Amino acid sequence: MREIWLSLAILAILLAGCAPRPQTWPSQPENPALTSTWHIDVARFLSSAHGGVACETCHADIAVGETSMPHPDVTRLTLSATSLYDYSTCARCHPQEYADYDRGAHAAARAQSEGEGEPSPTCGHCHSSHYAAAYTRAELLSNVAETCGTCHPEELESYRADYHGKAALLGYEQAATCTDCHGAHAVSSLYDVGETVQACRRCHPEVNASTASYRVHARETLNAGSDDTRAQESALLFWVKLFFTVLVVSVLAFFYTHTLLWFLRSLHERLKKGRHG
Amino acid sequence: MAEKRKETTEYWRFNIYHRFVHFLVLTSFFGTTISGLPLKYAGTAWAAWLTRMLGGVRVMGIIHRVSAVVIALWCLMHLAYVAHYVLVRRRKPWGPDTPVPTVKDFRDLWQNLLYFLGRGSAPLFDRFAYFEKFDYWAVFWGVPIIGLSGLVLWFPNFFSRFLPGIAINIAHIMHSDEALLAVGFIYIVHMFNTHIRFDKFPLNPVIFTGKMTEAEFIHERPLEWERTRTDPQRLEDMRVR
Repeated sequence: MREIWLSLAILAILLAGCAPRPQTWPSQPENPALTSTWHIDVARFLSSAHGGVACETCHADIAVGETSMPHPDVTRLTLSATSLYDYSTCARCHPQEYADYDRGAHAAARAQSEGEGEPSPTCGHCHSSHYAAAYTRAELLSNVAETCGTCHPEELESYRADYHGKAALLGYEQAATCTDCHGAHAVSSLYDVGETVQACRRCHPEVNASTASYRVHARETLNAGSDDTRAQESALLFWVKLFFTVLVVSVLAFFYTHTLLWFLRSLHERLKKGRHG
Repeated sequence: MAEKRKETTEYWRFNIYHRFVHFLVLTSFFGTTISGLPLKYAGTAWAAWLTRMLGGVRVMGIIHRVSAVVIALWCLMHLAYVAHYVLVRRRKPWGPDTPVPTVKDFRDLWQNLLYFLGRGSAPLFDRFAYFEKFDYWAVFWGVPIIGLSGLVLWFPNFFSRFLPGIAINIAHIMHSDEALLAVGFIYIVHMFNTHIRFDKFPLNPVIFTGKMTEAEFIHERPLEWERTRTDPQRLEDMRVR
């Protein structure tokens, strides 16, 4: 009997360590009024990376003491402030970053989709001008992935299923996040193998073209009838995953049933003997 | 008095080599699983907790690889044992003293399931019961699958010289899913079948001491006992002196 209680106590202690607790991502503003992009939480702004920058440095059209305000058209207040701000202003202090952005995939997509639907991102869509903190590498890992994931949810999911994303989730600071491979400002989709090899080699100098064709954003989907290499690879992963899923589930289901029945039988025999009343 | 002494007579079930290899198996299995599971379930609270407890991702990587090398070691040790058993000791590589499956194993499984459901009696086992043989072959299947895919993941640049990049993705699936099967099987089924069932709880010491009492021998492995009892040479070899 003592062994049973001892085992239960140890099990309880172990389980207590596994109790779910909330994920701690960067906090969102509590006050719903502050979620409007036209309102600034001054306290948070002052403690941000830009906290020491005066308003008119970025908002040059606000001139203190004058009556003219930069947004006379009230209907514009229903739009997101981010979509209206001219982010080329950022180039004044961050010329390299802006130049990189300007030759990247985001800027190209933005130029192409001018005026139609949701615009492709510029500075303010990824960076919070007023609240961005000076992040540590560990904070950056989760923050970058979350930020990119708002527009690229499937890529975020596949990244987190990959060893790079898993290591980042477990707090490994040297793990690569989105921008480490795709670039921070001159973002690239990395469809070009030569470009991908260069990206891999930033951390893994020995990588060759074949290793670089490993799919970080692997998706196990069945896409029959297509001769596209990626679709074929996805189909291959689908069948391998299916085979192992069936194997794991069937073997465990069979032996768990076997073990459960065995347990019930031995419990029955035990009670029949009357050893435990 | 003679009766009393007979009751406490012990027999060898596992020799020193078996016990040493099993010790390596259990420690290396524990090492690979405790350092691998948090990676498989990265993003859960318990994985973050366990990673902190183990000292971070880098330390887990070292534990995982050292344990993997130990697995490769005992794998080779076992193959050497089998070669020695067959070629030097001239023992039969099949039959009731080996884990090679027989038709009786399938009949035993069926009879045991019926027994669990209250129909008939439990089957009589020889040296290795069918569920013990399955334990053995599960490891025999699992080690190459997990080991080879693990090598691809450990040395991707070497293997991609003659394998396409997608092989690394396939190795990831194989390694991860087969490991889940091993964890789900060993820590639940094997632990229950051999260690935590009522008559053995909380631990069956035979794999550590190598010895079993005559009563256990007769009760658990009646067919092997029958073979042993009627063979003076075997009885002499197996008795603990």
